[in-house]
Amino acid sequence: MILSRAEVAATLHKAARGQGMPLGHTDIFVAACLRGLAMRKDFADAVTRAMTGPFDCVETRVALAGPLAIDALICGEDAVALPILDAAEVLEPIAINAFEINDLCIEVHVKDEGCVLHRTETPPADAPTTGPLNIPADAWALWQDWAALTYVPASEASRLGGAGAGLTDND
Amino acid sequence: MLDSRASPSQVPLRPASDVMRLRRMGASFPTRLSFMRTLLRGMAAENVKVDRPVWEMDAEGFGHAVYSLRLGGYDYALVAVSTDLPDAARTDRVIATAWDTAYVLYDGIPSAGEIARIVRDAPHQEASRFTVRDLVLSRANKSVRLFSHVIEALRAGQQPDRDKVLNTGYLMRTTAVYGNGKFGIADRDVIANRPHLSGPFAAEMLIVLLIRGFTHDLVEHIGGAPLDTDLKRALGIGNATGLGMAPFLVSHPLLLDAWMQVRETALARVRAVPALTSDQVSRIYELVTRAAAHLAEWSVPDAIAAERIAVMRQEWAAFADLLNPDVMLGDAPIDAMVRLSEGFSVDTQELVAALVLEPFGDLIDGLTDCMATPFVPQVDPMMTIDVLQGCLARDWSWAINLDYTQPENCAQFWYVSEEKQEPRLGNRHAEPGAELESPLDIARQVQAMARALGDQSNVATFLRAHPEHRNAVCRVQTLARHPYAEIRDNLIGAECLPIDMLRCKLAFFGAAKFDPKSDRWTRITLAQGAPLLGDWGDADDWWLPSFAT
Repeated sequence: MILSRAEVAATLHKAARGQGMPLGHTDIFVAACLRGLAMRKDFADAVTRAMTGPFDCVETRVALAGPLAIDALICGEDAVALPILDAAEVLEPIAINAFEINDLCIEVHVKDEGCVLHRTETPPADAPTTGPLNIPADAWALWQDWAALTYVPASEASRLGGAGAGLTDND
Repeated sequence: MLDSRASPSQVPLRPASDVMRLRRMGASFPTRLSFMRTLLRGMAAENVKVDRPVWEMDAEGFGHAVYSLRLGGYDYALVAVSTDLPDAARTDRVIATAWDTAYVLYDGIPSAGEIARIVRDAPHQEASRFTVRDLVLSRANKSVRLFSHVIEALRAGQQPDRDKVLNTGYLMRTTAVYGNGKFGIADRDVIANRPHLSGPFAAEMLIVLLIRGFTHDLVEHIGGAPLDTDLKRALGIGNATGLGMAPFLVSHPLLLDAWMQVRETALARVRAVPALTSDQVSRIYELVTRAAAHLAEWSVPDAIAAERIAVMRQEWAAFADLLNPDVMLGDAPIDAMVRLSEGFSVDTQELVAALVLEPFGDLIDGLTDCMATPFVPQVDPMMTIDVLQGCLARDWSWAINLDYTQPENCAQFWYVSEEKQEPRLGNRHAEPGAELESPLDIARQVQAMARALGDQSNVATFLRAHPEHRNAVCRVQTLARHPYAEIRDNLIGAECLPIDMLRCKLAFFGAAKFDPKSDRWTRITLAQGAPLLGDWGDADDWWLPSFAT
């Protein structure tokens, strides 16, 4: 499905919240996903794995561990080792975004036994950031289902007062 | 933060602790810095010519039209579609499924095939998919009370009743103006660096302006005679805005800060003007008179709003009496005017704050370049916990000292409706769904974070132990650098009135004649008194227009 980046971002924000991702981490995660989806055609699967709740392990969930690793590098660590992550592919766009925001050059090494992020002098290669995104229909449907977990069904009270307007408002 | 090193003199900015209270935000007026004004100045500077290459309308005004223009080196077009809508199907609410008219602002000049696509899809709005060539999507309904009257008058060889025109102020009102990627249209990135459309909501203002011109053409087509030019200018474009707009100000803190910084910096600059020329004094007296006339013409049925307007009318006369030659020809007269306004209501104070900007375009218009920002808030993990606590003590006492277990302090909850996926506001103590509330409870989040702080050395260490507080830390750090980034009121408290958030945002758009229909939706008028398309003679002199004869 061809979708605007804003559509994908809005749905991922809600879907991540629907899966229980902590606020603040959702912003970094969604920004990384937009970049990753533009970089790699097969990235949607990583997004789904990274977004699947619950988020109860800081070490192994890339949406939590990624930003915390960047924090550590900003604070002066030369390298941060992470165990096997749910979706290590997301680290690369997190690192590229960190370069654009903080001017921090980071190399990401993903190995069978875990990942290492370390400082480097080499900036990342330019990566696409604009234009619509092509999202697999099944992934999009799943993300929308997760986003729907944050929606409140209508009630009589919400219909009458939720938006505050009457039903017909001819003037 | 605006760079003031090479800027004109200015007095200290008004404190955010005052400016960012909801009651004051809800008293906002449009200014010369508003987005519609900025766009029109740009169009006038380029002497933009608007053509109408397609006009395929039947005698009753149903069909489609295309308007085209070149702005900042780019071609744009409005594709307008007019359909027959039964009166019973006409509603202001976003949940409607049919409208009198539908519109797309198109990137370029559309081919016949593209026009046919838009004519087919635009009337279905959210139920359709659009493309990256479609920049903005909108729809508008007729003002039943005025549209028919204007046509009947024109068909009878007469001009419409002037009072009726002025009382309504528009032939149609938009019920949604969608930009930035909605339903497949272009992301904002596409236009973010284009001349005249790089400012916030500039593309949305452009489509509204073109729709206004279309409504003029449509009644003249159906009525079979031209409208008088002065009546056309008095006809802006209406808008009905509900809760959907409110969360934007919370979810875009850096943008809110940028808008407020620009307005407050502009005010600080004009307050520093040491003396006025006689022309400037005359101009201010003229604007004071115009504002009084505008207040006299601003009539709304809502009892609370009507009372506020009535107070402003009384106070405005008293304020005008204070503007004697000693004040106007004395030192720092604008600063003196602002200080004099502090003896009146918040509404009158904000009207004065908007008025005094008008004569000083050379001094402040350039600030509008700072109203868009590509940046988003970031956490500073190196900040020590002591410094973070200092920020909390300095900026957040209004939030962290509240008792959120008291029913009145958590009386409301924001949520997204399953039915329409639009923001809503519920009563926490009477409605289901609070467990799914949207995170607009910033004050409560910050309090929870403040209570979780321990003896960690820095923010990075704290967030490793408490990743759930990352958003709250980010808000606190952002506010420390961007003092106008946060509404300084409890947005889930019983006293939170969303209408205040709506009015603040709409005033930045350039809206006037606020006509609240409840505490959570309002009608407004945009571009009333604005120059007609291509007739840019006095393109920048229509602040709070009056149409009194």
